[in-house]
Amino acid sequence: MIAALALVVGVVLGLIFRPTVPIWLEPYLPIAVVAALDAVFGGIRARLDGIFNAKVFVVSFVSNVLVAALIVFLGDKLGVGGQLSTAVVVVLGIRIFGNAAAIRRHVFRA
Amino acid sequence: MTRPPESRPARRPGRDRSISLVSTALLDDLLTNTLDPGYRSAHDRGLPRHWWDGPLAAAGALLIGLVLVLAYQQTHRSAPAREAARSDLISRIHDLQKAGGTLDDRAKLLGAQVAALRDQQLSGTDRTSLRAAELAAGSTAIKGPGMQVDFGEPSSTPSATVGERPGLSQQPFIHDVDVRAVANQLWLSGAEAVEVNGIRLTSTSAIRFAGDSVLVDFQTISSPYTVRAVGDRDKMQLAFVDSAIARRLKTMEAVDDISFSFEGRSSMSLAAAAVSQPGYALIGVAPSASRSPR
Repeated sequence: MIAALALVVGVVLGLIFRPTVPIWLEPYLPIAVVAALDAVFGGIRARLDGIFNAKVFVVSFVSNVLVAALIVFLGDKLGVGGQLSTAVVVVLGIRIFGNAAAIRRHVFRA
Repeated sequence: MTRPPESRPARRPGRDRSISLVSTALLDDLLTNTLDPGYRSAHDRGLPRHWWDGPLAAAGALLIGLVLVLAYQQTHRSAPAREAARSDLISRIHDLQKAGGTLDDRAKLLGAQVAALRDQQLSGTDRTSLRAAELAAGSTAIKGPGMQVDFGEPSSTPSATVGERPGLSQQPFIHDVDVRAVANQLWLSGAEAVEVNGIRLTSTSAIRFAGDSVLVDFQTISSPYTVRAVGDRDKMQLAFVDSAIARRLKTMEAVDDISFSFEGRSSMSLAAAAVSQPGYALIGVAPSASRSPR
């Protein structure tokens, strides 16, 4: 509940202060978005499963963002950045869909 | 549809021996174990609850919310800037085209004044020979009988604009080669003066392409194309009907649905071309007086 409120507060803070993203960070923003969505859905599912752990939630989000950014960074340097971005998005996208399906089963029992 | 059990223990290596292929196991794991394995192992280990669990989760959620809204704003902030730059470029192109048109008109006006002043100074025979030279060079507006060829892209193709940005249509059917072939065919059939979409062709004219648009003397023209030629209209029509380019356009009319028509005209007037004055070429020695080179 507090986490959901904090999510809304984060969105409102972003809307109020309108921070600008440095140019060099821009390519990693889509990856960060997908990792963030994955963390949100994973966290909700863990909460519904009754195994939510705040440390795992934060550490998995931060490390997912960092690892995904590192993969894309290396890919950019080696000339396969676009393909590796796609790979990251596909893997995290599958996880998002799976977790969303699990949440749906929890909520609707269907 | 079979579903995996709700709370399934993290997959340990050695399970599912039936799946021998590593890649299949990997994909299977990816599709069935969507929850981060950290949650399960932390739960199994029974980590003690801390007072900072709540604030930590809140901080993480705050960070996630910030990232999401940041990405949203970044996407929507740069879009209007791109659009503004695009419309600015378009308006600059239009301004420059207008300026070019104004200069062109002024050049024609001044040219007419120069011609009028020169005519006052010239004797009658000189004037007649000058007229003949101008006619041959294409630097004077003329009129006479001739024929007109009209052809253009299909007026509307249903799939042309679906799912595409406005301004980008599909690949054109008619290219510079077709316009050039029509003009060349008319010259071949005895045309004395040829004009493409109001641009008079001279001995130095070029019909080329840039991207998908046709350029005549570096001026962009677009469909529908009108090629008009002054000359012996019966002879030109007979030759044109039988030409390769007429057959090609006829085929394209049937297959690609382009428009194509031609007709003879008893009288038509062609505009003058803006003939540039030669800067380097000088009048050479007349052939009768020239000595054969050693």
